[in-house]
Amino acid sequence: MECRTRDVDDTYVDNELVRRSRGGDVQAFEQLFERHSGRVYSIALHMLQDETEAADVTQDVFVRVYQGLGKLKADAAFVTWLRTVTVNACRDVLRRRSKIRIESLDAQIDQGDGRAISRELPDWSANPEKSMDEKFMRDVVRSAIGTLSQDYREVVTMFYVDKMDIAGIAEVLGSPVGTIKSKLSRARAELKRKLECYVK
Amino acid sequence: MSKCSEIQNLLADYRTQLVSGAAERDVERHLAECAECANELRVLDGVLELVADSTPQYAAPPGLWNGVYSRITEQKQATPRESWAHRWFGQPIRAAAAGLAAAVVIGGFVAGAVQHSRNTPQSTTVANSEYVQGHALYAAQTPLADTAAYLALVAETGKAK
Repeated sequence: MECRTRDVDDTYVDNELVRRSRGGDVQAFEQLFERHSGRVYSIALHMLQDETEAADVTQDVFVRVYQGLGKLKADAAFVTWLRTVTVNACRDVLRRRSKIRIESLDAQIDQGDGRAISRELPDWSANPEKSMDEKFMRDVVRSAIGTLSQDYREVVTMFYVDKMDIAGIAEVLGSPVGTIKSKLSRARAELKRKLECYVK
Repeated sequence: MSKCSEIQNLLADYRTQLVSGAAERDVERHLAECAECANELRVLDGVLELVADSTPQYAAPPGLWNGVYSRITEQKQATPRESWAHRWFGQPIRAAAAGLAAAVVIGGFVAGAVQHSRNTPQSTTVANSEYVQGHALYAAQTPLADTAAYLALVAETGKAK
């Protein structure tokens, strides 16, 4: 209940800031940036697996949002729209990237000296002390999410990073709830295969 | 496919509430009896907990706002601010109205001037013209100068009456 009240308050504040930003108040838009840039950056980081690209996408998203504020309906949920813009911006980057570099995540990576290595998650399961700090585990999980196919990655990122529910994800991605559930289930099965060595 | 592998393939669906009714009861009955499958579910739960705990929302790197700010203010400056005249006359209806108003004002001036010239007495113009001619003859000391001046004077006097 308390959580619900906070959501309503957040929506009210967002709508007020959107209204002022639309009228040319850049300080109000800066407050929107402060409130939501972490969300955008985190989604982009898990989708793109690259800090520099995630930072660039965060900037692009907010510039696009500023340009599109006039088109946003007064009663539309700003955060849902922001998430959609973020996912589309990440998809653009991934599309450009795939044109530049067609490379399977399972393929061998050329080190430049003729030798090739396989891309794989760091294996610490042999470490008897299992001395994995939080940052290491975050990197491992992020890498594991990065090996998922793009559509699974989108769903997992929104579910786990952005803490969205299935219905919300369905709204952002424009897919039926059943489809989102199915993708989440398959992504979970893949994550189990990739990460079970860290929990056994 | 053995019962265990069949159940283990369903575990992710089971955790995502994609299994219901008889199938759900079947999974639960098997998990209660099979230690291996129950352990697989525990591993899956452990992985999902790990994913949930290791996917925090990061703060955006500092300085990003400056980039956004400079880009949105550049755009504002790049879009030239329209002058009031451009804003006003930019619309065809307003431009047509302004043109019509200008035409009415100019037409009014022209009509006023024509009316004024019509009201001016013709005789005065003629008399002035005769006087000027007479004066010119006198000034040139022509033989008819005195006659011309006299006639002009007579004509003016006659019109006055």
